[in-house]
Amino acid sequence: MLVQGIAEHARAMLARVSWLVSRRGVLRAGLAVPVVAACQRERRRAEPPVPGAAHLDTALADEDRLLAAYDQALASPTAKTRSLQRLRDDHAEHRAALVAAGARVVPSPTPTGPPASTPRPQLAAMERAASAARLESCLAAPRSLAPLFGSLAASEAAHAVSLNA
Amino acid sequence: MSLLSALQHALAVEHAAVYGYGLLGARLSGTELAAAQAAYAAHQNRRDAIDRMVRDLKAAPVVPPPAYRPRTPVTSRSSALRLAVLLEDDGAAASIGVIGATDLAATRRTAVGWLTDSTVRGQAWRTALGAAAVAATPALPGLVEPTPTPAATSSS
Repeated sequence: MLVQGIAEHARAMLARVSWLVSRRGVLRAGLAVPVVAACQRERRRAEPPVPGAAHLDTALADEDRLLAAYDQALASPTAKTRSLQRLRDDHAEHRAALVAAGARVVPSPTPTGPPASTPRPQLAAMERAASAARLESCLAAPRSLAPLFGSLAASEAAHAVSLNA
Repeated sequence: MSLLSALQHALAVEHAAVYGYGLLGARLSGTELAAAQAAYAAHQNRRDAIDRMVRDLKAAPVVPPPAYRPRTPVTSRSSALRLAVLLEDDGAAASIGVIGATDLAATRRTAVGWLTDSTVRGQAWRTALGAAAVAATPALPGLVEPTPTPAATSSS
């Protein structure tokens, strides 16, 4: 009787403790995320603005749109896979270079997904638009970033020529 | 690198390009010869433009050496195409040097034009060389050292 009572008491304690632990865990996790995010926001505000940062972020968003568009195009059974895959690979390298230079993914206020289908003329138009935007970034960027934007502009212009060939 | 140094380097590259296209054109025919002749004229124009830019900086433009040793021997169609790729890759790298050496938007715009021209021409020569050469196209022209251009897959 005594043993059974102790066992029931122990089970009840264990249940309470585990509930407390899990509740604390949940509370801790729930609090931690906004606190960390707030700290990161504060730190970002405290940092001086990086010259050319907005151009980097915009370029990264363009690269992500292009990657999504190429993925759509490559999914088509009639796609010329090898040539499109090479161009897509270039954009993956562009993206990596931008991230290495400090580009951040900035959520768009009006998110625009890739179009339902992306035929070659549409890809070419996207490449031309991206090239023109990178040229403008090249003209405005600090010297440390201007070569990267210039190179991206040239690469994307060549892609457009390749897609129209 | 100062803008003057970058321009002088780009000028030396253009002297070599004009010489190189004069040499390699002899191994090409048809549309490839026409493309080489167009490239020769484009590089002459670029050379003259850079020469003027150097003079505007009150400096004496570098002059071409009396003779060149081409970066790859030109003995066939495929070797001519490989040299054309190298000439355009050199032009792209020199253009990047100019872009990073100035804050002047007009000069940067001009240099991006050269860079784009070299990238598009280089792509066309790689396409003429074959699939392996196309696969070696640099994703970041002028910035990343391109992988060696493989020999042509078609007959020369």
